[in-house]
Amino acid sequence: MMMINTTKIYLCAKIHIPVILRNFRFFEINNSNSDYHDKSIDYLVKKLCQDNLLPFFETIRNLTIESDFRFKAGVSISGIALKLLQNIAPHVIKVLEGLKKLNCIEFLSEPWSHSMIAFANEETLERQINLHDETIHYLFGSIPDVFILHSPVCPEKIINTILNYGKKAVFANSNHIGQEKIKQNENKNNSPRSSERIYLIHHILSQILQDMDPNAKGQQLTDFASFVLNNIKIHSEDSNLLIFIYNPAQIKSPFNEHLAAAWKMIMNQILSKPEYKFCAPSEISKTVRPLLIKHKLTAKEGRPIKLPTDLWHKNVLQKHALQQQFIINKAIKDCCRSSLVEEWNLIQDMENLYYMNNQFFSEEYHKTHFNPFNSPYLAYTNYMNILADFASRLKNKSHPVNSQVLSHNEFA
Amino acid sequence: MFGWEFPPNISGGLGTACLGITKSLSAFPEIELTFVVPKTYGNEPVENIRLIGANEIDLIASKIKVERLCGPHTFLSIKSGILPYIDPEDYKKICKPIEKSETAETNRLLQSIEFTGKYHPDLMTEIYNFSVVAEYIAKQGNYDIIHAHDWLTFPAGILAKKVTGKPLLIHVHATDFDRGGGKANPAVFEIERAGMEAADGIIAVSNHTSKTIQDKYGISPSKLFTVHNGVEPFTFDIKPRTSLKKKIKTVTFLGRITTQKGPRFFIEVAQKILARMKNVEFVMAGDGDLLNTMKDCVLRLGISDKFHFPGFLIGKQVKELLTRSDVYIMPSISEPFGISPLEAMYLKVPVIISKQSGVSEVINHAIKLDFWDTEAIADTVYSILTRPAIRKMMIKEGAMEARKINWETSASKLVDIYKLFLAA
Repeated sequence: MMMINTTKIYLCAKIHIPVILRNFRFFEINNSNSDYHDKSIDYLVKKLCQDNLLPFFETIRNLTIESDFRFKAGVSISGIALKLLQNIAPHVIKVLEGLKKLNCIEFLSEPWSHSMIAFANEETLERQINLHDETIHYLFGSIPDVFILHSPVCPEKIINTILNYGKKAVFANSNHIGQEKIKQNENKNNSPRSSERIYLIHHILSQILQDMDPNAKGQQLTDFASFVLNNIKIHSEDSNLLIFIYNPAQIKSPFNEHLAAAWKMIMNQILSKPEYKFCAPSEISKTVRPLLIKHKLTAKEGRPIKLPTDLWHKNVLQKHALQQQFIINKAIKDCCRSSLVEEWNLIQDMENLYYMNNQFFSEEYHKTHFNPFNSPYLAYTNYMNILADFASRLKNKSHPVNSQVLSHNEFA
Repeated sequence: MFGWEFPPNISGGLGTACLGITKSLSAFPEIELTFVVPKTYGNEPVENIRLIGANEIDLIASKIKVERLCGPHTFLSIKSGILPYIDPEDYKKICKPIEKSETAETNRLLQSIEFTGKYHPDLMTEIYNFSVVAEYIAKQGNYDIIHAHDWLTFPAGILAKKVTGKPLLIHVHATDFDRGGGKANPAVFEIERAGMEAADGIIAVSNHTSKTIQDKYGISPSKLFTVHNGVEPFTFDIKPRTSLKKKIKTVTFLGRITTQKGPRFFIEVAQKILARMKNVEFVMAGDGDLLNTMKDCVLRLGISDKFHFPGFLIGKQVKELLTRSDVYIMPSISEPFGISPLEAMYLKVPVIISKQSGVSEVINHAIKLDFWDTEAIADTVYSILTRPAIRKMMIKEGAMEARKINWETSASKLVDIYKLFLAA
């Protein structure tokens, strides 16, 4: 009898909807009475739900039921996204609740805010994880036990915090953690438990899936499905575990019937192979080998693979904005006004740093990627105005912010 | 090639552009360039090109019939105060009565025409006379392409094409709609339209200008080519940039003080900044029909102690002003291209430009805003003045970007266009 080596596939949908900040001018600093949110967010959230999220969830539901529950998916959804959906599109929360009850999806744990500052220190991270876990529990009745790490910046000790916090495993992007660190850990043997429980997201396969042509049909679609399968086959030689991330909100068109058909074709082909098995995040166990991806692209040579690095933390604008976030975060821990803390959870979103990234200097990139600002300079100016005003509100209404630490005269 | 001015004897950006273009074109061994202006002064930096002043042409030897000059011609009958850079209506208010001695009349007894080469009130006469002499010059040489810069030389180009049968390319650096803040003088419009219709190809300095030519003059896009301007590297010594830590920050406007350039918006921005910051001064450098109005305006707003009006600056003075500037603003209502923001970037000054400008098509490291959105402009000025991160990045990236935008690229595109017409 021949043994088949099974590769476990963890497919995770990433759902994050950032709060869009309104135009906030310098003369409003210290003078603002209203909040920082753009009123267009209602329309954008409704459109996103209608065009992308609901058709995607429908596809997930059909795949699960039609495959007799052999297809499984994880869902990573930020606290901000949950809050916006609760307020603007509560029917989507109902849909998610339904999927959870049917065992079509399983939620992943993450910080409530989709931010880098959430990883500033152990205390902040614990507060953020707690808040997210509680929200998921309140809405869907369970606490996730696998953590997904989206932040491009994460100190190594933070990983241990997550694992010590009781999470079974961490799904992390290979670019964020760095394979060298994991190798070093293994070699030094100083934290073997940690390295055994970190599982790397396969960004090449994720990118291939993410870049799927929304208009592909017929032979083109068949070819694409073979391309995906071929890549899975190649990369499963390195590991018996593959984690994909797919963001239905970040595709270049609505999740239309062509994409739904493509998804069905690809997933059904994977399901038809006995060597592959879809797993829910909670099914992760020590029987699978942690993945050290050899990043090779053997099919379709020359296909550009966008690495998810440097989009949030490369240029001086981003670094300065993050530095200010750290300063405010330090000051807010003594703040007892819950409205300010809530506001801070919303405005610390790392999308605000993403809008400042150098790619947005290219007109082409700007046309294909959402950014409410015309240029990184304007994104920076607006965000810094908001941080300056927030710092001033924090200083006036709670524990004083050390004006010497805040390096700019705007905070003085 | 026909132009109206050549550095250092210039009144605006046209001369600077002509120098950049001719200098770069002269580097092509296959090009022999003759540049004709109404008047030469002898101090022009000419290398590898032939510069001819129309005033040097001997009327007797050339056998140009004197009757053709200053005769009862349509052009000559318009004795208006039109200047190419000033709205004719505004000009009437500020222009001194034209004294007979100041006009550039052809002296029928002299052997040559005493062109002024200036934008003086009897400009239409000079344009016409220039075209007659240009026709003669075109007949004398064996030229392959006729290239005319801006409306002042379009009649010259048209006549040169007529007598030689060679392809005419006209180069539009600005239209009268740009200069007039959305309105055009009918006489100037007619000359521009005639030039565009007679031309075999039209070179626009930006897509913004190309669109104006299509929309306002009804010209087919098939005739249009966009060749963006460049920036001339600075060869003379530039004082090191004033320290970024200097106490008084300087915000600069540099250009003609006319409706087109949006000086009112600059003052609105200043007013908003000064309400919040005290350590800032504003410099409005340039001359124009709105200069006195702007001076009155800052006086009325009570911010005159924070304003400087140094007048029209040239050459080194411009560079000196820019090197002590902390922000440069170009709030033009309509700017076909706009070379000065590139010069500012070259000199490491953060730049805010109007979205309604041609230069915005070729640069990324300037802040681009609507000219009327003075809140947004003031917001970015404040950001640049108070936050080192944005200032440093704009200075560094802007200077690098400006160095890549050069006249060599423009000249190379022009040569390709020439080849296209020579092959036809």
